Amino acid sequence: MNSGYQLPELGGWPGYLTAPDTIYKVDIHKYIIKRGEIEAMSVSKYAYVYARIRARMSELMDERRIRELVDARRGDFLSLLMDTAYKDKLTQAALVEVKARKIEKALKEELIDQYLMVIKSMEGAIRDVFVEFLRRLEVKNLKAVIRAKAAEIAGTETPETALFFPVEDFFKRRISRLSEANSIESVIEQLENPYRGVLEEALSKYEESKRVLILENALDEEIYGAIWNRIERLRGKDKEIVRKIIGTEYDLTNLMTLLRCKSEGIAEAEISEYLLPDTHTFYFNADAMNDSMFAKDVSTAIQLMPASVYKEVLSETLSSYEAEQSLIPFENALLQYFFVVIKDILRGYPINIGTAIGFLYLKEIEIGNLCTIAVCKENEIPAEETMEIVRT
Amino acid sequence: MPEIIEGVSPTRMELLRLSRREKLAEKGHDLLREKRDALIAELLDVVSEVRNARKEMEDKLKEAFAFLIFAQARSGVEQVRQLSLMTSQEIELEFSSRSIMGVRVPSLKLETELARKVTERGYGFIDSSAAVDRSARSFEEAVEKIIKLAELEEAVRNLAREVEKIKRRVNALEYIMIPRLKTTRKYIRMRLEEMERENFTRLKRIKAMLEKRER
Repeated sequence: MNSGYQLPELGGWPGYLTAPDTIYKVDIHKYIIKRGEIEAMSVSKYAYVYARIRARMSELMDERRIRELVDARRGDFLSLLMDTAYKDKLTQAALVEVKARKIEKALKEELIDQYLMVIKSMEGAIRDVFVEFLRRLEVKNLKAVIRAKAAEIAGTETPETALFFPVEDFFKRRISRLSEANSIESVIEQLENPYRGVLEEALSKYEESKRVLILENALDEEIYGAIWNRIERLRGKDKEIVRKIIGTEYDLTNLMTLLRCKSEGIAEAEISEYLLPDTHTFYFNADAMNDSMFAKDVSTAIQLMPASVYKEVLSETLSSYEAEQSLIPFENALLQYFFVVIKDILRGYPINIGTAIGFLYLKEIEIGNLCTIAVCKENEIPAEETMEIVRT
Repeated sequence: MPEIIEGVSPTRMELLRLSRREKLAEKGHDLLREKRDALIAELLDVVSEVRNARKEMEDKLKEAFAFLIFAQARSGVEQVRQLSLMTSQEIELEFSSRSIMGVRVPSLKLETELARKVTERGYGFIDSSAAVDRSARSFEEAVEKIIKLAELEEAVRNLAREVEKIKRRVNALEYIMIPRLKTTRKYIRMRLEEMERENFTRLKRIKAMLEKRER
């Protein structure tokens, strides 16, 4: 190990990733000591994780495979899907026809399996980051319960309970049982921290307007803040990579929130309430963004943004927005940009957290694509229109 | 040949009364026919409005469902279902009525605008998307159009009912009442003429008898 470590060839990368031509020949220990890149985990452990993830990565579908699924007839779609890495989960779901909701459930389970695989392979501060990532799904479960309670759907009448992300065994918290509570207050009472504290704090504000948005915001701020705190505990290149990916995700979320609010004429002070505080490229509540926050419409908000890659992406899409009078082109462009960021991370040196995080994001995007195709098949949307929605 | 009105005494008074009734019936018939024609014209206008409103509603619903499918494809079926729970709202309507040529038709007025801002719907920003916003807005606008259509369709129903009622009255006057009055009047006139002739003959015979007796 000390005298030179040859990493395996990177030929097995999915077709849509530009596989590096070079075979890395580096002295890992020297690399670690000099650059301080992956101190959080031992090299051998990272190499092991990397190998496992690479094996899973080779199963990711390339553009050609996605195209095949999109072009397949409704009847053939399921059999083609059974011929993928999702076969086991789909078999368990006992699907006989294309049912988007059932497919979605099966694929969600597969995503959680991938998260668990990564978490089990990691240790220390890096593992904590992935645990917080997974906790996002628990927060989604909790939001589902709160939404059902707000809509006054009784526990026994919540047929979608089975669709909750199955993360309860991992976190040892039975969120689904809260569906039986009588009210939102009762749900909060039965919760543990960190959820209980943040929701209790937001409850009085919720009572005034009865908008679940307030509770959802409180939960989002908690989880996204927790992820950010975990990132801050990382060191070196790992921290840089995760900050870039997550920070970009936060930036894009904030940008879309800003544009969605601007398109509906929501006041600047109110917009600030819905923005995530931790960001990567620019702080949204800072002076630099002031002009955009106070802009009279979406187009002006973009023009007044501080110079950044986001501004470039949004400016390029401005004409589509003006033609369609819809924010969807912006959303598509930003998602596509995020996809590029992930691919860029994966193009770099592979023995670091970037491989795992990039893989999970690609997996999530792939599952998202498959769900998109399933919905389109169910609704008989033409292949060309479906291709416009999927991300490849 | 229409029947004569039963129990009419063949008197001059009755003849005058019948003539007045006939004139009144004819005048009423003309007025009702004019009202019917005007109501039909109004009805056609409202029907045309209904056609436009229905088209607008169908287009809006088509748009809303297209965005809904897009939102489902982007955010997932389950996610959109959950968000849809948040977008329900109570619709307050003010019911009143207005008059079109004397026909009461309903007027539905929304107390508040149904199209809401993204923050008023209740769902959070993180789990939703621009497609969800667009779909929700399109559905809200579609509900407004459905209410407008309901108002117009009810107006059409009331106007059509009124046209039908007037048409029956016009027909009753035109084919039953007026012909009967005419026949009855004709019958009384003939009966009076006959009585006149009888009287004349009777008087002539009395006169002849009196002249014979004088001789």
